[in-house]
Amino acid sequence: MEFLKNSWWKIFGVIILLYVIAGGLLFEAPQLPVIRESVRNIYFHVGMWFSMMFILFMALFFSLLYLRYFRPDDDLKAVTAVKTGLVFGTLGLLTGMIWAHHTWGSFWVNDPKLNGAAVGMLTYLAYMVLRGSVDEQDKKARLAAVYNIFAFVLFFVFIMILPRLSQGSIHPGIEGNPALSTGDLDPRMRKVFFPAIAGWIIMAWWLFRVYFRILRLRKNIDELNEND
Amino acid sequence: MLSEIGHMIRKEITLEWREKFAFNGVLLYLVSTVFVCYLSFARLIDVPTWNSLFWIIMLFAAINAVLKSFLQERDGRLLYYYTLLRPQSIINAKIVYNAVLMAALGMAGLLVFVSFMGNPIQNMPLFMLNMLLGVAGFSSVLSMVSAIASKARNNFTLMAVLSFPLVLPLLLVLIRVSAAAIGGAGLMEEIPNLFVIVLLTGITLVLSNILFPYIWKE
Amino acid sequence: MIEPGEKMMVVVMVLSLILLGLAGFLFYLERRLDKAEKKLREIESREKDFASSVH
Repeated sequence: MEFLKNSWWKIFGVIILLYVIAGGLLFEAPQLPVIRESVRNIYFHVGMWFSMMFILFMALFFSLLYLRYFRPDDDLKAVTAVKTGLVFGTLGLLTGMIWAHHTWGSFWVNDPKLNGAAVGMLTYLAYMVLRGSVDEQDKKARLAAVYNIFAFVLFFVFIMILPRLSQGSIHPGIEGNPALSTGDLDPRMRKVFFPAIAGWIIMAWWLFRVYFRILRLRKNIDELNEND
Repeated sequence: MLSEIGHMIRKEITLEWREKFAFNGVLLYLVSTVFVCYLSFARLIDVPTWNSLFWIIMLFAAINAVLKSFLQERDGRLLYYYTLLRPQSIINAKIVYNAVLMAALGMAGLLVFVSFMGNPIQNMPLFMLNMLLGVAGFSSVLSMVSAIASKARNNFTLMAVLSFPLVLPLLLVLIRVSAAAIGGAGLMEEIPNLFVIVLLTGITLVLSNILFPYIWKE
Repeated sequence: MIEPGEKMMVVVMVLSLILLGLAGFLFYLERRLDKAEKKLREIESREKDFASSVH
Protein backbone atom coordinates (compact mmCIF):
# COMPACT_ATOMS: atom_id res chain seq x y z
CA MET A 1 0.00 0.00 0.00
CA GLU A 2 1.98 2.92 -1.31
CA PHE A 3 -0.74 5.35 -0.28
CA LEU A 4 -0.82 4.29 3.37
CA LYS A 5 2.94 4.28 3.59
CA ASN A 6 3.16 7.92 2.49
CA SER A 7 -0.03 9.23 4.00
CA TRP A 8 -0.53 7.51 7.35
CA TRP A 9 0.43 10.64 9.29
CA LYS A 10 -2.05 12.77 7.35
CA ILE A 11 -4.88 10.38 8.16
CA PHE A 12 -3.65 10.28 11.75
CA GLY A 13 -3.76 14.09 11.91
CA VAL A 14 -7.28 14.24 10.48
CA ILE A 15 -8.51 11.65 12.99
CA ILE A 16 -6.93 13.62 15.85
CA LEU A 17 -8.63 16.79 14.69
CA LEU A 18 -11.98 15.03 14.35
CA TYR A 19 -11.53 13.92 17.96
CA VAL A 20 -10.59 17.48 18.94
CA ILE A 21 -13.68 18.95 17.27
CA ALA A 22 -16.01 16.44 18.88
CA GLY A 23 -14.29 16.31 22.27
CA GLY A 24 -13.62 20.01 22.39
CA LEU A 25 -17.23 20.93 21.85
CA LEU A 26 -18.98 18.09 23.70
CA PHE A 27 -16.77 17.09 26.65
CA GLU A 28 -17.24 18.69 30.01
CA ALA A 29 -15.30 21.93 30.38
CA PRO A 30 -14.56 23.96 33.53
CA GLN A 31 -17.03 26.74 34.21
CA LEU A 32 -15.10 29.98 34.60
CA PRO A 33 -16.73 33.36 35.18
CA VAL A 34 -17.17 35.53 32.06
CA ILE A 35 -15.34 33.05 29.81
CA ARG A 36 -17.82 30.24 30.44
CA GLU A 37 -18.30 27.93 27.46
CA SER A 38 -16.06 30.02 25.22
CA VAL A 39 -13.09 28.38 26.98
CA ARG A 40 -13.43 25.69 24.31
CA ASN A 41 -11.94 28.13 21.85
CA ILE A 42 -8.55 27.28 23.42
CA TYR A 43 -8.36 24.15 21.27
CA PHE A 44 -8.63 26.23 18.13
CA HIS A 45 -7.14 29.64 18.90
CA VAL A 46 -4.02 28.37 20.72
CA GLY A 47 -3.62 25.61 18.14
CA MET A 48 -3.44 28.26 15.40
CA TRP A 49 -0.70 30.19 17.22
CA PHE A 50 1.34 27.08 17.96
CA SER A 51 1.16 26.03 14.31
CA MET A 52 2.10 29.54 13.21
CA MET A 53 5.16 29.62 15.47
CA PHE A 54 6.12 26.13 14.33
CA ILE A 55 5.89 27.05 10.68
CA LEU A 56 7.70 30.37 11.17
CA PHE A 57 10.54 28.54 12.91
CA MET A 58 10.71 26.40 9.79
CA ALA A 59 10.87 29.53 7.64
CA LEU A 60 13.79 30.74 9.74
CA PHE A 61 15.50 27.38 9.40
CA PHE A 62 15.14 27.36 5.61
CA SER A 63 16.40 30.95 5.37
CA LEU A 64 19.49 29.93 7.35
CA LEU A 65 19.93 26.93 5.06
CA TYR A 66 19.64 29.17 2.02
CA LEU A 67 22.39 31.49 3.22
CA ARG A 68 24.54 28.43 3.91
CA TYR A 69 24.17 26.55 0.61
CA PHE A 70 22.33 28.95 -1.76
CA ARG A 71 19.92 26.26 -2.99
CA PRO A 72 16.87 27.84 -4.71
CA ASP A 73 14.59 25.18 -3.22
CA ASP A 74 15.39 26.32 0.33
CA ASP A 75 14.29 29.82 -0.58
CA LEU A 76 11.07 28.50 -2.06
CA LYS A 77 10.50 26.52 1.14
CA ALA A 78 11.08 29.65 3.23
CA VAL A 79 8.48 31.67 1.26
CA THR A 80 6.01 28.83 1.38
CA ALA A 81 6.48 28.56 5.14
CA VAL A 82 5.97 32.29 5.59
CA LYS A 83 2.80 32.23 3.49
CA THR A 84 1.43 29.23 5.40
CA GLY A 85 2.39 30.97 8.64
CA LEU A 86 0.45 34.05 7.55
CA VAL A 87 -2.63 31.90 6.92
CA PHE A 88 -2.43 30.40 10.40
CA GLY A 89 -1.64 33.80 11.89
CA THR A 90 -4.76 35.27 10.29
CA LEU A 91 -6.86 32.39 11.58
CA GLY A 92 -5.30 32.87 15.02
CA LEU A 93 -6.17 36.56 14.96
CA LEU A 94 -9.74 35.85 13.82
CA THR A 95 -10.40 33.20 16.47
CA GLY A 96 -8.78 35.50 19.02
CA MET A 97 -10.90 38.48 17.99
CA ILE A 98 -14.13 36.52 18.23
CA TRP A 99 -13.05 35.34 21.66
CA ALA A 100 -12.04 38.85 22.73
CA HIS A 101 -15.42 40.14 21.59
CA HIS A 102 -17.16 37.68 23.89
CA THR A 103 -15.00 38.05 26.98
CA TRP A 104 -13.43 41.51 26.86
CA GLY A 105 -16.25 43.21 25.01
CA SER A 106 -14.40 44.41 21.91
CA PHE A 107 -12.60 42.84 19.00
CA TRP A 108 -9.28 44.43 19.82
CA VAL A 109 -7.92 45.61 23.15
CA ASN A 110 -4.68 47.48 23.68
CA ASP A 111 -2.73 44.65 25.20
CA PRO A 112 0.97 43.84 24.81
CA LYS A 113 0.34 40.29 23.62
CA LEU A 114 -2.16 41.35 20.98
CA ASN A 115 0.11 44.13 19.82
CA GLY A 116 3.04 41.72 19.68
CA ALA A 117 1.01 39.44 17.45
CA ALA A 118 0.05 42.35 15.21
CA VAL A 119 3.69 43.40 14.86
CA GLY A 120 4.60 39.83 13.92
CA MET A 121 2.00 39.79 11.16
CA LEU A 122 3.22 43.18 9.89
CA THR A 123 6.78 41.86 9.81
CA TYR A 124 5.89 38.93 7.61
CA LEU A 125 3.71 41.05 5.35
CA ALA A 126 6.72 43.34 4.96
CA TYR A 127 8.76 40.25 4.04
CA MET A 128 6.31 39.56 1.21
CA VAL A 129 6.48 43.20 0.05
CA LEU A 130 10.28 42.98 0.00
CA ARG A 131 10.14 39.89 -2.20
CA GLY A 132 7.77 41.69 -4.52
CA SER A 133 10.13 44.58 -5.07
CA VAL A 134 13.24 42.69 -6.19
CA ASP A 135 13.40 41.26 -9.70
CA GLU A 136 16.49 39.09 -9.88
CA GLN A 137 15.82 35.64 -8.50
CA ASP A 138 18.93 35.04 -6.39
CA LYS A 139 19.19 38.60 -5.11
CA LYS A 140 15.55 38.36 -4.04
CA ALA A 141 16.24 35.11 -2.23
CA ARG A 142 19.32 36.51 -0.50
CA LEU A 143 17.69 39.75 0.69
CA ALA A 144 14.56 37.92 1.80
CA ALA A 145 16.58 35.39 3.78
CA VAL A 146 18.54 38.15 5.51
CA TYR A 147 15.38 40.07 6.36
CA ASN A 148 13.66 36.93 7.61
CA ILE A 149 16.47 36.09 10.03
CA PHE A 150 16.82 39.70 11.16
CA ALA A 151 13.08 40.14 11.65
CA PHE A 152 12.49 36.81 13.35
CA VAL A 153 15.13 37.39 16.01
CA LEU A 154 13.90 40.91 16.76
CA PHE A 155 10.28 39.74 16.78
CA PHE A 156 11.13 36.95 19.18
CA VAL A 157 12.99 39.25 21.54
CA PHE A 158 10.06 41.64 21.29
CA ILE A 159 7.41 39.17 22.37
CA MET A 160 9.73 37.98 25.14
CA ILE A 161 10.32 41.38 26.69
CA LEU A 162 7.17 43.30 25.83
CA PRO A 163 4.80 41.77 28.40
CA ARG A 164 7.42 42.28 31.12
CA LEU A 165 7.59 45.96 30.32
CA SER A 166 3.92 46.71 30.65
CA GLN A 167 1.86 46.54 33.79
CA GLY A 168 0.79 43.05 32.89
CA SER A 169 -1.41 41.63 30.25
CA ILE A 170 -5.03 40.56 30.44
CA HIS A 171 -4.23 37.85 27.92
CA PRO A 172 -3.45 34.60 29.78
CA GLY A 173 -0.28 32.60 29.32
CA ILE A 174 3.33 32.51 30.41
CA GLU A 175 5.44 35.59 29.93
CA GLY A 176 6.56 36.12 26.42
CA ASN A 177 4.65 33.26 24.90
CA PRO A 178 1.31 34.02 23.32
CA ALA A 179 -0.09 30.72 24.51
CA LEU A 180 -1.16 28.98 27.67
CA SER A 181 1.24 27.45 30.11
CA THR A 182 0.25 23.94 31.12
CA GLY A 183 -0.05 25.04 34.75
CA ASP A 184 -3.24 27.06 34.35
CA LEU A 185 -4.94 24.43 32.24
CA ASP A 186 -7.72 22.46 33.86
CA PRO A 187 -6.84 18.72 33.91
CA ARG A 188 -10.14 17.99 32.17
CA MET A 189 -9.03 20.08 29.21
CA ARG A 190 -5.60 18.54 28.78
CA LYS A 191 -6.88 15.39 27.12
CA VAL A 192 -8.19 17.52 24.27
CA PHE A 193 -5.67 20.36 24.40
CA PHE A 194 -2.49 18.38 23.74
CA PRO A 195 -3.96 16.36 20.84
CA ALA A 196 -5.31 19.63 19.45
CA ILE A 197 -1.81 21.17 19.33
CA ALA A 198 -0.40 18.03 17.68
CA GLY A 199 -3.26 17.85 15.19
CA TRP A 200 -3.00 21.47 14.09
CA ILE A 201 0.77 21.22 13.70
CA ILE A 202 0.37 18.10 11.52
CA MET A 203 -2.22 19.99 9.48
CA ALA A 204 0.13 22.97 9.09
CA TRP A 205 2.96 20.69 7.95
CA TRP A 206 0.67 19.00 5.42
CA LEU A 207 -0.57 22.30 4.02
CA PHE A 208 3.02 23.49 3.79
CA ARG A 209 4.04 20.38 1.83
CA VAL A 210 1.21 20.61 -0.69
CA TYR A 211 1.70 24.35 -1.11
CA PHE A 212 5.42 23.89 -1.62
CA ARG A 213 4.88 21.24 -4.28
CA ILE A 214 2.44 23.50 -6.13
CA LEU A 215 4.86 26.44 -6.09
CA ARG A 216 7.80 24.26 -7.13
CA LEU A 217 5.81 22.77 -10.00
CA ARG A 218 4.77 26.21 -11.16
CA LYS A 219 8.38 27.38 -11.05
CA ASN A 220 9.65 24.33 -12.93
CA ILE A 221 7.05 24.77 -15.66
CA ASP A 222 8.01 28.43 -16.01
CA GLU A 223 11.65 27.48 -16.38
CA LEU A 224 10.76 24.85 -18.96
CA ASN A 225 8.79 27.41 -20.99
CA GLU A 226 11.64 29.89 -20.87
CA ASN A 227 14.08 27.33 -22.23
CA ASP A 228 11.94 26.61 -25.28
CA MET B 1 39.20 46.80 11.49
CA LEU B 2 38.99 49.87 13.71
CA SER B 3 41.11 51.96 11.38
CA GLU B 4 38.97 50.83 8.44
CA ILE B 5 35.88 51.98 10.29
CA GLY B 6 37.60 55.26 11.07
CA HIS B 7 38.42 55.81 7.40
CA MET B 8 34.87 55.02 6.36
CA ILE B 9 33.42 57.46 8.89
CA ARG B 10 35.79 60.20 7.78
CA LYS B 11 34.76 59.57 4.17
CA GLU B 12 31.08 59.77 5.14
CA ILE B 13 31.60 63.08 6.91
CA THR B 14 33.46 64.54 3.92
CA LEU B 15 30.70 63.43 1.60
CA GLU B 16 28.02 64.77 3.90
CA TRP B 17 29.79 68.12 4.08
CA ARG B 18 30.00 68.23 0.32
CA GLU B 19 26.32 67.42 -0.05
CA LYS B 20 25.00 69.58 2.76
CA PHE B 21 21.64 69.96 1.09
CA ALA B 22 20.68 66.43 2.08
CA PHE B 23 21.19 67.06 5.78
CA ASN B 24 19.58 70.47 5.51
CA GLY B 25 16.67 68.81 3.77
CA VAL B 26 16.08 66.46 6.66
CA LEU B 27 16.44 69.34 9.10
CA LEU B 28 13.88 71.37 7.18
CA TYR B 29 11.61 68.33 7.09
CA LEU B 30 11.87 68.15 10.88
CA VAL B 31 11.11 71.85 11.38
CA SER B 32 8.19 71.77 8.93
CA THR B 33 6.63 68.72 10.57
CA VAL B 34 6.88 70.30 14.01
CA PHE B 35 5.39 73.50 12.66
CA VAL B 36 2.52 71.64 10.99
CA CYS B 37 1.80 69.89 14.28
CA TYR B 38 1.98 73.20 16.13
CA LEU B 39 -0.52 74.79 13.75
CA SER B 40 -2.90 71.85 13.63
CA PHE B 41 -3.08 71.40 17.40
CA ALA B 42 -3.34 75.18 17.85
CA ARG B 43 -3.11 74.98 21.64
CA LEU B 44 -0.97 73.49 24.35
CA ILE B 45 -1.18 69.72 24.05
CA ASP B 46 -1.15 67.29 26.96
CA VAL B 47 2.03 65.50 27.95
CA PRO B 48 1.37 61.99 26.53
CA THR B 49 0.53 63.52 23.16
CA TRP B 50 3.64 65.70 23.34
CA ASN B 51 5.73 62.62 24.01
CA SER B 52 4.28 60.38 21.27
CA LEU B 53 4.32 63.20 18.74
CA PHE B 54 7.98 63.91 19.45
CA TRP B 55 8.98 60.29 18.91
CA ILE B 56 6.89 59.80 15.80
CA ILE B 57 8.43 62.89 14.22
CA MET B 58 11.88 61.67 15.26
CA LEU B 59 11.22 58.27 13.71
CA PHE B 60 10.22 59.72 10.36
CA ALA B 61 13.15 62.12 10.34
CA ALA B 62 15.47 59.21 11.17
CA ILE B 63 14.11 57.10 8.32
CA ASN B 64 14.57 60.03 5.97
CA ALA B 65 18.10 60.64 7.14
CA VAL B 66 19.20 57.01 6.90
CA LEU B 67 17.42 56.32 3.62
CA LYS B 68 20.12 57.93 1.56
CA SER B 69 22.98 56.25 3.39
CA PHE B 70 23.28 53.40 0.93
CA LEU B 71 21.50 54.99 -2.01
CA GLN B 72 24.19 57.57 -2.61
CA GLU B 73 26.76 54.83 -3.05
CA ARG B 74 26.85 54.55 -6.79
CA ASP B 75 27.65 51.16 -8.20
CA GLY B 76 31.18 51.90 -9.28
CA ARG B 77 32.15 53.09 -5.86
CA LEU B 78 30.51 50.05 -4.27
CA LEU B 79 32.69 47.76 -6.29
CA TYR B 80 35.74 49.71 -5.19
CA TYR B 81 34.88 49.33 -1.48
CA TYR B 82 34.13 45.72 -2.01
CA THR B 83 37.69 45.04 -3.01
CA LEU B 84 39.17 47.26 -0.32
CA LEU B 85 37.24 46.80 2.90
CA ARG B 86 35.71 44.09 4.99
CA PRO B 87 31.90 44.31 4.80
CA GLN B 88 31.72 44.47 8.60
CA SER B 89 33.75 47.67 8.61
CA ILE B 90 31.32 49.21 6.16
CA ILE B 91 28.16 48.44 8.11
CA ASN B 92 29.73 49.41 11.44
CA ALA B 93 30.95 52.69 10.00
CA LYS B 94 27.50 53.40 8.61
CA ILE B 95 25.87 52.62 11.95
CA VAL B 96 28.25 54.86 13.92
CA TYR B 97 27.97 57.64 11.38
CA ASN B 98 24.18 57.47 11.22
CA ALA B 99 24.00 57.46 15.00
CA VAL B 100 26.04 60.65 15.18
CA LEU B 101 23.94 62.22 12.42
CA MET B 102 20.72 61.27 14.18
CA ALA B 103 21.98 62.50 17.53
CA ALA B 104 22.59 65.91 15.95
CA LEU B 105 19.19 65.72 14.33
CA GLY B 106 17.60 64.70 17.62
CA MET B 107 19.14 67.62 19.50
CA ALA B 108 18.00 70.04 16.81
CA GLY B 109 14.59 68.41 16.78
CA LEU B 110 14.25 68.67 20.54
CA LEU B 111 15.20 72.34 20.42
CA VAL B 112 12.61 73.11 17.75
CA PHE B 113 9.99 70.97 19.43
CA VAL B 114 10.49 72.58 22.83
CA SER B 115 10.35 76.07 21.42
CA PHE B 116 7.09 75.45 19.56
CA MET B 117 5.29 72.99 21.78
CA GLY B 118 6.58 73.95 25.24
CA ASN B 119 8.89 72.06 27.57
CA PRO B 120 7.24 69.65 30.00
CA ILE B 121 10.44 67.66 30.67
CA GLN B 122 11.35 67.46 34.36
CA ASN B 123 14.35 65.15 34.22
CA MET B 124 16.35 66.47 31.27
CA PRO B 125 19.52 64.33 31.75
CA LEU B 126 17.48 61.11 31.70
CA PHE B 127 15.56 62.32 28.64
CA MET B 128 18.84 63.06 26.86
CA LEU B 129 20.40 59.74 27.82
CA ASN B 130 17.31 57.92 26.60
CA MET B 131 17.38 59.84 23.35
CA LEU B 132 21.06 59.09 22.72
CA LEU B 133 20.61 55.37 23.42
CA GLY B 134 17.52 55.35 21.26
CA VAL B 135 19.36 57.04 18.44
CA ALA B 136 22.02 54.33 18.55
CA GLY B 137 19.32 51.66 18.37
CA PHE B 138 17.46 53.39 15.54
CA SER B 139 20.71 53.77 13.65
CA SER B 140 21.62 50.09 13.88
CA VAL B 141 18.20 48.85 12.75
CA LEU B 142 17.69 51.48 10.06
CA SER B 143 21.19 51.19 8.56
CA MET B 144 20.65 47.49 8.04
CA VAL B 145 17.16 47.98 6.57
CA SER B 146 18.48 50.75 4.35
CA ALA B 147 21.13 48.37 3.03
CA ILE B 148 18.39 45.85 2.17
CA ALA B 149 16.12 48.49 0.64
CA SER B 150 18.92 49.97 -1.46
CA LYS B 151 19.22 46.66 -3.29
CA ALA B 152 15.52 46.63 -4.13
CA ARG B 153 13.25 48.88 -6.11
CA ASN B 154 10.75 51.39 -4.73
CA ASN B 155 12.75 52.73 -1.89
CA PHE B 156 11.05 55.04 0.56
CA THR B 157 7.89 52.95 0.87
CA LEU B 158 9.89 49.77 1.14
CA MET B 159 12.20 51.28 3.72
CA ALA B 160 9.25 52.42 5.84
CA VAL B 161 7.39 49.13 5.49
CA LEU B 162 10.45 47.05 6.34
CA SER B 163 11.60 49.15 9.26
CA PHE B 164 8.35 49.86 11.13
CA PRO B 165 7.83 46.41 12.59
CA LEU B 166 11.52 46.16 13.47
CA VAL B 167 11.76 49.59 15.07
CA LEU B 168 8.46 49.38 16.93
CA PRO B 169 9.75 47.40 19.94
CA LEU B 170 12.50 49.95 20.44
CA LEU B 171 10.12 52.83 19.92
CA LEU B 172 7.69 51.55 22.57
CA VAL B 173 10.44 51.24 25.20
CA LEU B 174 11.81 54.68 24.29
CA ILE B 175 8.39 56.27 24.64
CA ARG B 176 7.97 54.66 28.05
CA VAL B 177 11.30 55.89 29.38
CA SER B 178 10.81 59.32 27.92
CA ALA B 179 7.35 59.54 29.50
CA ALA B 180 8.97 58.69 32.82
CA ALA B 181 11.66 61.32 32.26
CA ILE B 182 9.03 63.92 31.51
CA GLY B 183 7.23 62.95 34.71
CA GLY B 184 10.46 63.46 36.64
CA ALA B 185 11.44 59.86 37.37
CA GLY B 186 14.95 59.16 38.61
CA LEU B 187 17.62 57.38 36.63
CA MET B 188 17.60 54.34 38.94
CA GLU B 189 13.92 53.54 38.33
CA GLU B 190 14.44 53.41 34.59
CA ILE B 191 17.61 51.27 34.55
CA PRO B 192 15.72 48.08 33.50
CA ASN B 193 14.13 49.81 30.53
CA LEU B 194 17.39 51.43 29.50
CA PHE B 195 18.97 48.00 29.71
CA VAL B 196 16.32 46.68 27.31
CA ILE B 197 17.21 49.43 24.83
CA VAL B 198 20.90 48.51 25.09
CA LEU B 199 20.03 44.83 24.70
CA LEU B 200 17.98 45.42 21.56
CA THR B 201 20.74 47.58 20.10
CA GLY B 202 23.33 44.92 20.93
CA ILE B 203 21.34 42.13 19.28
CA THR B 204 20.83 44.27 16.21
CA LEU B 205 24.55 45.05 16.02
CA VAL B 206 25.50 41.37 16.23
CA LEU B 207 22.93 40.42 13.58
CA SER B 208 24.07 43.24 11.30
CA ASN B 209 27.67 42.08 11.49
CA ILE B 210 26.70 38.51 10.67
CA LEU B 211 24.15 39.23 7.95
CA PHE B 212 25.48 42.31 6.17
CA PRO B 213 28.09 40.39 4.12
CA TYR B 214 25.23 38.50 2.45
CA ILE B 215 23.58 41.73 1.32
CA TRP B 216 26.82 43.30 0.31
CA LYS B 217 28.27 40.85 -2.15
CA GLU B 218 26.82 40.74 -5.62
CA MET C 1 -24.73 26.19 29.90
CA ILE C 2 -25.01 24.33 26.66
CA GLU C 3 -26.30 20.80 26.91
CA PRO C 4 -24.26 18.40 24.81
CA GLY C 5 -27.46 18.02 22.87
CA GLU C 6 -28.61 18.44 19.35
CA LYS C 7 -27.41 21.96 18.74
CA MET C 8 -23.76 21.18 19.49
CA MET C 9 -24.00 17.91 17.58
CA VAL C 10 -24.93 19.90 14.47
CA VAL C 11 -21.94 22.22 14.96
CA VAL C 12 -19.64 19.23 15.45
CA MET C 13 -20.98 17.65 12.27
CA VAL C 14 -20.52 20.82 10.24
CA LEU C 15 -16.96 21.40 11.45
CA SER C 16 -16.05 17.75 10.88
CA LEU C 17 -17.43 17.91 7.36
CA ILE C 18 -15.38 21.04 6.66
CA LEU C 19 -12.27 19.29 7.95
CA LEU C 20 -12.95 16.16 5.92
CA GLY C 21 -13.62 18.27 2.87
CA LEU C 22 -10.30 20.05 3.32
CA ALA C 23 -8.47 16.75 3.79
CA GLY C 24 -10.14 15.31 0.70
CA PHE C 25 -9.19 18.36 -1.30
CA LEU C 26 -5.57 18.07 -0.15
CA PHE C 27 -5.45 14.38 -1.12
CA TYR C 28 -6.90 15.26 -4.52
CA LEU C 29 -4.29 17.99 -4.98
CA GLU C 30 -1.51 15.57 -4.03
CA ARG C 31 -2.73 13.03 -6.59
CA ARG C 32 -2.75 15.65 -9.31
CA LEU C 33 0.68 16.87 -8.21
CA ASP C 34 2.05 13.32 -8.41
CA LYS C 35 0.85 13.04 -11.99
CA ALA C 36 2.05 16.49 -13.00
CA GLU C 37 5.48 15.97 -11.47
CA LYS C 38 5.83 12.65 -13.25
CA LYS C 39 4.86 14.23 -16.55
CA LEU C 40 7.32 17.08 -16.01
CA ARG C 41 10.15 14.61 -15.35
CA GLU C 42 9.27 12.77 -18.56
CA ILE C 43 9.34 15.96 -20.60
CA GLU C 44 12.65 16.98 -19.07
CA SER C 45 14.29 13.61 -19.78
CA ARG C 46 12.92 13.65 -23.32
CA GLU C 47 14.41 17.09 -23.91
CA LYS C 48 17.72 15.90 -22.52
CA ASP C 49 17.68 12.91 -24.90
CA PHE C 50 16.81 15.18 -27.76
CA ALA C 51 19.63 17.56 -26.90
CA SER C 52 22.18 14.76 -26.65
CA SER C 53 21.04 13.19 -29.96
CA VAL C 54 21.49 16.50 -31.76
CA HIS C 55 25.07 16.92 -30.59
